[in-house]
Amino acid sequence: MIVNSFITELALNTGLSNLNYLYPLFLLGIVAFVILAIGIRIENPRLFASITAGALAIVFFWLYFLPGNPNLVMSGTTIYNRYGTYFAMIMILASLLVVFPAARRLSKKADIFYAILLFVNIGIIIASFSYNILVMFVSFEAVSIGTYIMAAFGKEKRHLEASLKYFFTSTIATAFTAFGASFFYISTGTFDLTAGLKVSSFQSMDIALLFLAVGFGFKMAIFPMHQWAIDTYDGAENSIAAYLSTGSKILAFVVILKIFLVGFSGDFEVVFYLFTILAIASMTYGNIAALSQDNLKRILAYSSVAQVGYLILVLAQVSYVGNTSSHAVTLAVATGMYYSVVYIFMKGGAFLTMNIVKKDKVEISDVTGLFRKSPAVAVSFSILLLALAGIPVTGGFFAKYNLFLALITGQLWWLAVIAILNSAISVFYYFRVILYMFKDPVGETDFNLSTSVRIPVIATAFITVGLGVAFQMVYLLMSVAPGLFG
Amino acid sequence: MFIWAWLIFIFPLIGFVLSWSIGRYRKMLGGVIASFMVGLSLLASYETFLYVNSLGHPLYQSYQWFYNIKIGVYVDHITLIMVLMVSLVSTIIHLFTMYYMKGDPGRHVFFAETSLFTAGMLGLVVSSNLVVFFLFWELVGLCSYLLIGFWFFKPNATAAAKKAFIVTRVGDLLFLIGMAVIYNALVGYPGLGGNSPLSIPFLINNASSIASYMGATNLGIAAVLLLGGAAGKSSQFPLHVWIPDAMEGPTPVSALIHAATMVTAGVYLVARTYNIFFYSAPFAMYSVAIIGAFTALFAGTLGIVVNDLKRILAYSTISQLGYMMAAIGLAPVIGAAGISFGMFHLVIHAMFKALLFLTAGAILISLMDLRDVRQMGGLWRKMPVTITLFLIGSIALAAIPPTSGFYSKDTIISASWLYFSHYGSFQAFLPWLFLSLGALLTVLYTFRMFFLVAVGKPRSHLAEHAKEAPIIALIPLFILAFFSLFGGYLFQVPFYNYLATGVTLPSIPAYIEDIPLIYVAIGFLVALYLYGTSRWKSIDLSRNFFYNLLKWKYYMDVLYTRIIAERIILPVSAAFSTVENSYNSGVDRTGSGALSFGTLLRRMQDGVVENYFIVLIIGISIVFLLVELFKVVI
Amino acid sequence: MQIEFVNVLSLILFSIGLYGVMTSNIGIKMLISIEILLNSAILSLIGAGILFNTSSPLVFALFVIAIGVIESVIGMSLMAAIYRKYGKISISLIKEIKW
Repeated sequence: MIVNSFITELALNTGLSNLNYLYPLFLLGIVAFVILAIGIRIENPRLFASITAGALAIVFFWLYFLPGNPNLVMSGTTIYNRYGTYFAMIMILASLLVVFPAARRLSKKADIFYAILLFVNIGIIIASFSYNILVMFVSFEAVSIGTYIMAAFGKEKRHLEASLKYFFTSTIATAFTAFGASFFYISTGTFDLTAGLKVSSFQSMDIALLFLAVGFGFKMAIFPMHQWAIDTYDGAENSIAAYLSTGSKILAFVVILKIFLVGFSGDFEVVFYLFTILAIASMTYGNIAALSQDNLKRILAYSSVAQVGYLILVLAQVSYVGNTSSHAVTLAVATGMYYSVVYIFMKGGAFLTMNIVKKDKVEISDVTGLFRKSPAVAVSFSILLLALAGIPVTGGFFAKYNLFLALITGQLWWLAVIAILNSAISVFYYFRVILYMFKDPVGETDFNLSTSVRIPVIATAFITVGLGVAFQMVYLLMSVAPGLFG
Repeated sequence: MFIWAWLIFIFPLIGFVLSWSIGRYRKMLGGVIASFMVGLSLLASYETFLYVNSLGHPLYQSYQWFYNIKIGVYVDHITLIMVLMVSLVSTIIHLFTMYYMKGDPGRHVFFAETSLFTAGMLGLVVSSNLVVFFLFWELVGLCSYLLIGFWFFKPNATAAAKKAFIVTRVGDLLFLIGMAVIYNALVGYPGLGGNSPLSIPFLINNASSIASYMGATNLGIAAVLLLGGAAGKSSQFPLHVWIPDAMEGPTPVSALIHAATMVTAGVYLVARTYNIFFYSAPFAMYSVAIIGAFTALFAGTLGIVVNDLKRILAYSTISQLGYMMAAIGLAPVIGAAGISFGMFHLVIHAMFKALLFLTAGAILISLMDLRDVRQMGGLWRKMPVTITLFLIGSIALAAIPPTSGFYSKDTIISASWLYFSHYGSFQAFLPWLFLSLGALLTVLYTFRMFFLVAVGKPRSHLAEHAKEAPIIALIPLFILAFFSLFGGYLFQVPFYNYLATGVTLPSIPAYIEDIPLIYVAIGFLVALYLYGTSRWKSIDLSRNFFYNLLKWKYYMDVLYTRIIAERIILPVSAAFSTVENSYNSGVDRTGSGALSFGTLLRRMQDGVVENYFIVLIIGISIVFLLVELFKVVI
Repeated sequence: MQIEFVNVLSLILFSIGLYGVMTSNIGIKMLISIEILLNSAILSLIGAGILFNTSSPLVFALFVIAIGVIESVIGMSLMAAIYRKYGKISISLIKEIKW
């Protein structure tokens, strides 16, 4: 009783009303410390993985059952609504995806890895609900700092190099973000994105926009800020590459959506130009650079640059249409949401498939003859690649189809044509990988086909197809999508 | 709920799963299951045929799939004709394939794929929504890719499969854009009334009001985009290049692709969405007619110089498909009879072309896959039954009266004269000109092929030792031969009236009507003079300009692969990787320098993290300058 | 006080920091440059706080300082790990992963 009233008192005095929304975060934090405590005595990666997965699963459902009506938490810097819940949930799914595969390669200090993963998820949940640059910045940095350490896990030199590149690029991005936030404040007098910003655009606003785009675009690996990503995905442990290219990337997408579509709603013209150029550059660069690539993980890395290009077309479309309550905008945002979940599974699954090759540097020829060894894995990987290429029936197709539909609905014909051409180019390098898999093996190739490797691949392939079948979801999401605008 | 209509394409799907899984252990059983399942879908087609006839109006069953896309079946008379034809020919081909593939280690996969292919085609035919239509369309495309490349150890086969896939993909892209245009235009259409904007019955029953809502020109653009898709699948000019190469696959595949399934899908698409073409601006219909007619002539010219037996048949297929397209395109004058004419030729062509391909398959098996007709000869004496069947196919292809080819094709040519006499302009004259000249070429290449194959003396060791195929394998072919010979005489008029009411045969002046016949006679005599004897050996055309032009297929393959693929797409890719590499390699060599541009490049070496920031700063500066520029300019 | 001065000063600092990250090939130099970048952002934030006479930019500045410290720590430990593996901290030479 006393404790309860104390908490209520505290909540009232500190603006932490609606404390029940924060309990899932407390749970994650407590479990993380518990893992650290157990880790002093026990070194069993699988145990920690199970605890982590359990905690994440509980939080996943907890978030779902929290009241859905919009609620202001933490002095109004954070808005709990269904839109944020959706993204928080799919990013937790991205974490769940890598929990068990990561256990394979963690012999020492697994407790630290899983504790960090839980902390990262706290940051993710806060960032997906917050509408204040300050809160976003802090939670985003919490994710970044956690993932630096995750990327450095492993014994090889390559892992260290990957982490190094990620670290330096990301810290510089931090500086950009802080600087951009400062200019945002100078032009508007607030850090709050929903404050109804309608001041006429002037030069410092453009600077703020540019700096914030660089700062958050780094994490998403948009075209000129992409170079670290290629090396880091290539160098890092497969499951960590999977996480970096799904969870933390989608987080950056969520933040970018909010900052540029809500925060800069008075300045849509510049947002449109900026993201159109970035999208075209990313798609084209990613797809064309992947064509002549022989390193399989780098192909996937380049393809994720291209996929980011498709994703940020959503921003281009919304800022072009402008009227945030129109059907075209709702469709575009819902498409972004659907694309994100499909992207998490198809890209995460593809990176996890790399575990079948018993080398750190995976060449495209290393998967030769996979079909002979394990048809199930080969077919599943093919499905994932086909989804990335946007071939029908998979979720990837419906995501892209809807994206093009949204662009056309917003009268952006020419942009849709560019995107379609790009996805036509991309078919080439995905099929190249598939062809290698279905060839006969030349020598004796040795694949790692243990259950812990096979299950994630097959499962993600199933989910990818399932998301295509459950396409109706987009129309459900369209009722949630307006939540983006507060 | 009339379940048979759904079973039409579900049976082969089951066949696909079963023959894949069971065929692994019992290879021959895979073939039996696949044939049986395709046979069952023939039965289902027949049940549907009876039911829909008793119903008196088209059968339409659907349920909501997502949002405003309804999945379902729509069966009208065109559909019935198609499902009966496809399942019949497919059954026959499956039966023959059990003989053809009997030694192949991967034959269960082959049967599974052909089964899936048939399922895709039948599904496409009955589907009631363009989206579902498109999905099956892609399935068919995928299967054809797999089947053409079935003998993947042959480098030609994989290259051909790739080519087929890429070229049809161009068409698919156009189709998709066309669908998007229609969808986008109709999504807010007040007359939609709960229908999906891409629902086929909705589109074809309300085409005139849609045309006035969208504007005839806009609808025409959509229609031409759909035609682009059809041209890709039905290999009309200029997307015809993939079919001749696709001959690298096993022969039953060629029969399946060329006769029953894939290539007719394009014609069927145009016939299906005929009302859209009809009510849109006139250029849409005219482009159907002119593309079809031009292809009929164009492919014919190529057919007379090719020496590969299967490729001759391939070009003849392209040419005949041109006739079907052209027949539908004549509709502004002859109305819905155009569909009847086109579809009748489609069905008849399926019969005799399947016959030709399967006999060609029997010949090739006996000749150990020797495909050069110049090295054959004298086979009539070695394998009389096969070659007699081959002859029946040939005369039907050449439209010699009274074979069924004559009935189906001459009607189209006569109709094209009606088209000319109605408009009287030069553009309206072109279809007749192309089609009738095409008839001449058809006879020429058909009998060139036949004479080279069948008469004279064997010109190679393999031809001397050719042996007859087992009669039991040839039995299915007799059914095809029967239809090729008598189908036209028996079914022509009832068929026309089944598809469209009140069709009359086009009546034109006798001297015009006789022109194609005269051409046939000329063509036959020329072929007899040159190829019935050995005179052709003494003609040296290797320096003739036109001969080389034809031999190089009007340089279109060269254009596509050498110019577009190699000169445009590859260099762009190479340029990008060169740019990347020049960051890297260019610069270890440069010595130390001050802050010059050279130093900047040196610092851009990949793998070094600080150079990434240079790329970043430059990149983002350019982006920002562009943004500011657009802001000012636009 | 003129906000422009603060802004220009912080932009100059930022440029110096950018020059630093672009040219330094030793890990410690890189970390120092990053600190300069962060400090320019902090300066700019404080300028904004003074201009509007509000505290939230100052709070932001505090957070940036804290995060800067954490990043320095991680950077230093990475440097230590690199020194153990490679025997040097010249990050320009760490370029095994490329192209």
